[in-house]
Amino acid sequence: MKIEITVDEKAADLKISVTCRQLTADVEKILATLRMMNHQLTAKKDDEVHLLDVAQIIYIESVDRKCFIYTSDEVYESEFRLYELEQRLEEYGFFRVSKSFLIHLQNIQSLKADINRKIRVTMSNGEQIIASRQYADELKKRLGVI
Amino acid sequence: MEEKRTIFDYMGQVFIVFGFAMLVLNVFCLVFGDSAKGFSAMFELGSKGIPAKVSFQFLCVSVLIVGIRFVFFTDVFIKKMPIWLRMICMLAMIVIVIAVFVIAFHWFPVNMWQPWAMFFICFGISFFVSYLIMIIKEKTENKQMEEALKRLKSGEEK
Repeated sequence: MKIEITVDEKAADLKISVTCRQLTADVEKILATLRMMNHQLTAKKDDEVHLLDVAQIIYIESVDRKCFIYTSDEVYESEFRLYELEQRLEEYGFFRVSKSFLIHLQNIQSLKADINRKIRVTMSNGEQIIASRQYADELKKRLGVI
Repeated sequence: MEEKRTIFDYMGQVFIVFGFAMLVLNVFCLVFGDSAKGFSAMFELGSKGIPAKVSFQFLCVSVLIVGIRFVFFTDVFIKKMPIWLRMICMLAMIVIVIAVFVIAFHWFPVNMWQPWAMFFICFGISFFVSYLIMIIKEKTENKQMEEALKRLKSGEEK
């Protein structure tokens, strides 16, 4: 893989071009990473690739090493693993609340203390997610409660 | 990343329950010990102290209470149940366990209403106080989290 960088003071905007023989999984991953910098995430639904605005995402769930992205009315599959999405989406206000869930803090509807120091998180689509004990403490720290 | 509780955490809880029970029992022993000496195995030494066997019986009760709490206040056995229902079930189980110990070890005569009344009053008061503390703590925590969430949302929107 060749990386070519051209510094041009007259360039109006940052332009990235990718030249490849085929759109392989690796190339798709590079493109997905670049789109994420543009507040967008690529995800698949019915074998079609969709571009999602990060703000649309309510939460992401990992099931059997596959990641599912939930928006208000659709579910998409991501090619990334949950830890990768966690690293990439942290700056956009996403927060890990358990081994399987990454939530968008902006899309939390309410928070309620649950048994065993856990937190019941109700998302804007009405879905309830339990923040496990260790992550619940981290969530409280993030919120500035402790 | 989930923080696992060890056996020592549960042993700690057992000794907290046991310590509190022994403290209350010793106060009762000083106040009612001599008058209850004739008919209660708990106070057979009068106001001199609690017999060792009764202490061990209370240790067993403490272990069972922590066990009951583990069953109803973790999601290991019961995944979905409202907190108030968990509380009622836990309360009922604790009353049953203590009643079994009262009968089995003759802590006080089963056919006398006064000791039962005293037991339910003491148990009811301590339970009500701890429940009230729990509710206040939960409400305060929920309020703090809601306010923090509002702050976070408005901060990120700006």
